Amino acid sequence: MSLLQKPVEELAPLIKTKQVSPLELVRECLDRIKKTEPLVNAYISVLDESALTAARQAEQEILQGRYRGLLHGIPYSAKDLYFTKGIRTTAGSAILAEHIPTQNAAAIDRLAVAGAILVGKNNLHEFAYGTTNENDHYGPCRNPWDLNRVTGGSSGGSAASVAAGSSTFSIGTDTGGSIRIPASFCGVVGLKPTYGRVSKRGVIPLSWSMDHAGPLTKTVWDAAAALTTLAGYDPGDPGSADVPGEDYTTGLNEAALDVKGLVVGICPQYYNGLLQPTVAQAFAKVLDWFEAGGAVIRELKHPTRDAFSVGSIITMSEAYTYHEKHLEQCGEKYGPSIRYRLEKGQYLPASAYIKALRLRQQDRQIWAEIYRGIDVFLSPTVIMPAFPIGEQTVQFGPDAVDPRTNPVLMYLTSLGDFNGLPVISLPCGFTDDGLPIGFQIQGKPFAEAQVLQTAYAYEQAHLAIRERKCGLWK
Amino acid sequence: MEVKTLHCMTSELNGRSVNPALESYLPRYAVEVAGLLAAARAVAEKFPPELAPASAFVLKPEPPTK
Repeated sequence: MSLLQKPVEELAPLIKTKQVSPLELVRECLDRIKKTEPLVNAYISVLDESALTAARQAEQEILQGRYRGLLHGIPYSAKDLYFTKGIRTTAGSAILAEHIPTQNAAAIDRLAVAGAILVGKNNLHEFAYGTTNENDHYGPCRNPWDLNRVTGGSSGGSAASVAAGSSTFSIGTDTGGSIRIPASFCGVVGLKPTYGRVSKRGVIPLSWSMDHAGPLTKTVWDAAAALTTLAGYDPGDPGSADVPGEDYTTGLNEAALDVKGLVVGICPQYYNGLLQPTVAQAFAKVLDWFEAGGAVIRELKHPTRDAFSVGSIITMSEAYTYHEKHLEQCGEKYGPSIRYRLEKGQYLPASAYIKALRLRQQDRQIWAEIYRGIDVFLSPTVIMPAFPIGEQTVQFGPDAVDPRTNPVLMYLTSLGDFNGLPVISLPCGFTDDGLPIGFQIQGKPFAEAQVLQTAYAYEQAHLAIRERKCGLWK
Repeated sequence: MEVKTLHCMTSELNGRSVNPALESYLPRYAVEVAGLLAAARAVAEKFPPELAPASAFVLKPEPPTK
């Protein structure tokens, strides 16, 4: 079994006890990238030289007894939206094709201090403004479970690299579902923390009041380990929350496996009649499992479902503001669908933007009320599994819609960005064709520990789902 | 919404040039933007009047419920 099939949870003790060398692991990872990239296209830049240098340093430190912690010597990748000092950061665009930052993003610095080793920058939907990861400039990212299908996006390269084993974990961003959608399509775990939990300093923004940074991993435990390193207040990020993080792995133990008495909220009004049958069946089994374990399923009505459309006003307005200068000066360098979406933002009046902000505030108050009666909130992650690259339309209820211009893929994920609450997506089954299906668990503000524990309980009871590997491992 | 309204917004309100690509988007924008703004207006009617705009926010942890 390749080391790269192992999660961080298994690799870290092997590195700590010197049974596995970081250099050996990073070399294997770089070889895996060479093998899988012609098929998957999960990377925009691969950092062979700097990764090997960092691996040698990690090896020396560990041999000298200076083990830094769980991520020391672990190879990882980052969505090419995170600034990396001296390494180009393209945002998946032609406009920033030669952009070389002079500083690291805060998350990259935190991971470096923890001893994690950056092996490459992942492909993404251009400027993170799309959910299919069909990138006009760097090519589509291909789903490791079926290379003819999309990965989802915008953190598609991150999810695909984890699924393909060309990184041990990755970091992405989520503005309308961009961590969780590709996590669901590629059969990995994706965690969008509470707004402000992880610093976005040095992350190219899409919509600064809706953007979230977080990890994509093989397992729930790995997500907890990554968040432990990533979380924390950063005065350099105006949106950063001055709330202390914690070691999120410590709660993932025997006690966390018991869901008896857990009050689980669901809101079928969101998705009734919209889910593809395989997704509906998989999610029904999820609820059955929680109920059988003694959880209480409580059906809710959420009166601000309109957030789905109104929230896009915030994203469109903020994204346009960030891109206005480039749109005027070199609009032709944007991919056509991105340019179309960005330009629209200029026609939204300030009053609409402020109304949307007010609705968001109201929505948070409503969720605070809802959470007085529940512990976690569950839903499918995406209403469908991955579809073929280039597919012109997908079914959204009675309508056939273009998934590039219609927000169909983020229909169930955008709520979590609008309300800012922590959400994790994890696999809950497969279609008959072997495509992964995911569901998501949302929690109270800054209750990542509970979200992770609930996900861990489900995952540990369904290890066969977690252990199933994509065809690239055959 | 009329296309010429959007045209004027670009050039007169936003100080931008209307290039051919943008020109070609305007008919679709005229429909989509009108729909979005109508949705925002409809939702705004449900707001409690005391609800202040929140341009920036930091969520706070909730006390445990049980």
